[in-house]
Amino acid sequence: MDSHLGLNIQAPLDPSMEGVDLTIQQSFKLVPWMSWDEWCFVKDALFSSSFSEVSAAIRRVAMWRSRGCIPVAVDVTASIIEIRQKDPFFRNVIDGNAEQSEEMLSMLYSMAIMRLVNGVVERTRKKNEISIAEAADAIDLPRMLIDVRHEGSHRELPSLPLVRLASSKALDWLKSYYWQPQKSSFFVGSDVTTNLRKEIKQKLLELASSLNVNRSTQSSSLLKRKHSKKDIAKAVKNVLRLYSSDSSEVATIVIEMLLKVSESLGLSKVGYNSESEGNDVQSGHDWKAIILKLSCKEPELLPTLLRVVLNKYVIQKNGEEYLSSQNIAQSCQIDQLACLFEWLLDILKHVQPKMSGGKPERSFNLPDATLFECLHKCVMASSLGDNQLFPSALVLAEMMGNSALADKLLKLSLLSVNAEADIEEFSSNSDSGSFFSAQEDSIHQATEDFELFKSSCPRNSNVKLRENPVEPKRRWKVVNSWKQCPIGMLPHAIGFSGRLPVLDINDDTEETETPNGSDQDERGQSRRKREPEHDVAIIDDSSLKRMRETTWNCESDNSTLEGLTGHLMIDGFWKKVSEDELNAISSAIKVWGLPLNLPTVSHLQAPLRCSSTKGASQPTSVG
Amino acid sequence: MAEEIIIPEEWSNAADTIAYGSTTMVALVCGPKNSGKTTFSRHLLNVLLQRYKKVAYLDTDVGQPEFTTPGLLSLTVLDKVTPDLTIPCLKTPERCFFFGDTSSKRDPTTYMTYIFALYDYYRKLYCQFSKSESSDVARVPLVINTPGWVKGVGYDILVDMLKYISPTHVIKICISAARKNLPAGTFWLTDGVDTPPVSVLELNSARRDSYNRSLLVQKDARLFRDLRMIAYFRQCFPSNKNITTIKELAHALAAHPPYEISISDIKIKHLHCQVPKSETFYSLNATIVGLAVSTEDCKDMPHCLGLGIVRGIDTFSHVLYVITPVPLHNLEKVDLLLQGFLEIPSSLLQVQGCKSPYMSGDVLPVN
Repeated sequence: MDSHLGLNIQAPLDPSMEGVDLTIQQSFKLVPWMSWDEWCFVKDALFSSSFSEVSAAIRRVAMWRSRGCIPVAVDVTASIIEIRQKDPFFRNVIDGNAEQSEEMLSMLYSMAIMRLVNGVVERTRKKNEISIAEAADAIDLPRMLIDVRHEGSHRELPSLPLVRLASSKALDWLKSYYWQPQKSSFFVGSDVTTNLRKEIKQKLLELASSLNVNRSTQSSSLLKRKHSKKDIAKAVKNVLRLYSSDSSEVATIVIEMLLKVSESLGLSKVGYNSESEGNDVQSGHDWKAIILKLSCKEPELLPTLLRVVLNKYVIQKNGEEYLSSQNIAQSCQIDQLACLFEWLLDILKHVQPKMSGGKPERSFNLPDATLFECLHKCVMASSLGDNQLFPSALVLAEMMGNSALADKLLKLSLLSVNAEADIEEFSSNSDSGSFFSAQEDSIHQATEDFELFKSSCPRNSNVKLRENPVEPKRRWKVVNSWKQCPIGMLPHAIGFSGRLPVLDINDDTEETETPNGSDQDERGQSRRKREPEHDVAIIDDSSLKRMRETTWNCESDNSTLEGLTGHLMIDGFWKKVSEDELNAISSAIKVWGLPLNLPTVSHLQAPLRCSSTKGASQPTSVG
Repeated sequence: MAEEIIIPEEWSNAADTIAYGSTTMVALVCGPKNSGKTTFSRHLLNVLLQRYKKVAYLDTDVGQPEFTTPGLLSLTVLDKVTPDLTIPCLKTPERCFFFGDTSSKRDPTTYMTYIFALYDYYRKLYCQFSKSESSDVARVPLVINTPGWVKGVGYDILVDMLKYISPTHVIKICISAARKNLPAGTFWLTDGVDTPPVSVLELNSARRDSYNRSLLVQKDARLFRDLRMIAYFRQCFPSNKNITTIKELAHALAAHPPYEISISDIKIKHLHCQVPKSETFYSLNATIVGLAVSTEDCKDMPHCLGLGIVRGIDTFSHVLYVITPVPLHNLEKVDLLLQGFLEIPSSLLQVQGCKSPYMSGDVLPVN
């Protein structure tokens, strides 16, 4: 397999790139973090006072190092903080049970400081024209650090009290030299990004104003109207040009602007960010006109906007889970996002032609797959623990003309509403006895619903029965379908910009084996992590959720299930389970107050892994 | 790279001497950086291929290897003359290890182990039959190219390597700046130890200015490495597919249906960096990995079948998405992903409208 380069080596920098893109592309830099959110998490956690948060940040930086493009300032900051974590002096531990000898600690500190001085200063000074000290002075690096470097490399090892002091100075300096400027720099945005964003904003405003002119001149002369029409066409074209070069940036800006004026859109329930800049497009009506206008030329715009909102929503939701302190502003924004989604959907409804007599005439035609993807995401987002998007999911189902689906969704939403009501009841009521009986009732109710579902489900299900395959299993295969998306992201059904993956290790990765009772316990625990204060409530939440998911996964009727006795659906596949294990599972379920009998359990499609996976891998379960 | 290749008379005479000598030769080429080692090796390969049917090539330069991407140590067997010495080309090696960095300094011990294993493999494959029965055609000479080691860790490694392999010919290329050259003579031998005979050829670097000073051909090492990677992943597409610029390739890669592999079917090893288990996927996403086979017989030395880009990870569906030019039938054996410090060329990550999240526009210039 010989292969010549097949690429033009003489011109590796690709002169074919055009104008503005060239400047943009060249100024991007490879970084080890996937988003600035990740960077911010590390920044906040590194300098936090919580030992576990600091440890998490240090782990993250260790991972950044493995990616090979870590800025030296980040590297050294994490090193110094890691050393301080090992130093009893900074851990406020009184007993002298130190892991490291003082000698070792001095050595570690000295090395970190040497690396800081050399790593940062060497880069700023040209060869040997000026001394290290002069160069350090130029960037306000404390003189003490230079001295430690010098002593450490050429003389006696600096004393521990000295290097401890130096480490504090170093951290302060790093904060002011790297962490804070970097943070403000991406908040404001670098020149290139700012310019691009400015341009997008400006073009959008131009479009808005030209539309406004058009409206106000409707009564005036034909000539004037013609003129303003021309303006509109030009403005639309300008925006679309930007859209085609960076669709996600445009969509993000539109959403940001929309969120700013959310009050006038009639979206926001709580006053959030009420101050708006003078130039902004003010009224919801204007925005609607803009989006309609653009959508006529670019049908992908609306789906892209919907996706951006959904992504933002999911990120915020996820953020709620793992970020410690939650402020009201954020949950407020979640509400806004949900409302904005509805609002956009409303526009989409206007544009998308109604199904007329089964055969739709479509000028603006979004494939059902696109709608389905949106719907799917809505439901997935809802599985994160609330139902704000359910109404939108229903609208989507209706738009697809799938009343059966809408019906199912309605039931599903009712089910989860019940579940929530119960939890609330419990948290306000400390009497566990009445709680359990209420709980039992609701589970019975759910079981009945489930039975009802089973009997009403169509027979066209395709249950995957995974037995020992006859053919040797192939580990590697080309994916069945793929959509262009950036490297490092996962494809998204809509658009090319992809979605960010969730990269946290799923603890149950190894659990493709048959599960047993203890596994379930573990899962209960992992769920519990979300809201540690309400342990009991969460356990019950999870068991209820399991019932909910059970219904959600109902895709087979009784006759199919018959052949599956002794199987459990785990992660979307039917797996053989032994009697003992079933017993174990059923007793585990009893813990939560529902005396289930064994046959039911064996039919129960207990989704033993994170429920959302299933939705992802088996969209058939809805439709 | 585009510069004309000069083969001085001294060089071609040396190559002829080596190629038409009586013994099956193992020739090692060494000398300072940019002195022309690779050019001489290429020339020697071509001269040898006129006499022998096959010639083996052991590449120990992990930074700028001849026939593979950077980060790999490989033994390649050639059977065709390369007519144009200016165009580097990729070949599938006979055997290959993933070292995972562009300098041997990262882990000298492992580096040496791999090189010895490759040499042993060569011996086993091509030097088993007795010398008498083998005709010229059947014999397979070996050319070893080295990085520009003249001092420090690299020098120590070179000495160990020379001792272990004991080549029949050592070609030392010298430049005019004497102190940057390797020591004269058989510098790796300790006095009083019996060793097989070796001929040392000291050659002057090819390019000289009017004062007879060596002109070193400065290469942009980083650019070279990026181009190598780019050329390697170009092989994901049929050669007749119209991809002529890096931009087009980046675009094609973003749209290319990757391979998928279940997370439970693959092991992951970070070679040069300790990565907490919880961070594994963060570490892997959008990086270049070695695709390796962990064989039963030599557990610590998984051989490498090629490189891949982990282009996405879906922890919900428990699959990794990998782009690689390694054909499926070979890929099936791969059960181990090795992560080193091979940086993915940033030009492959910035596709218009499809920019990787790891490319950021707001990075402070200070670092």
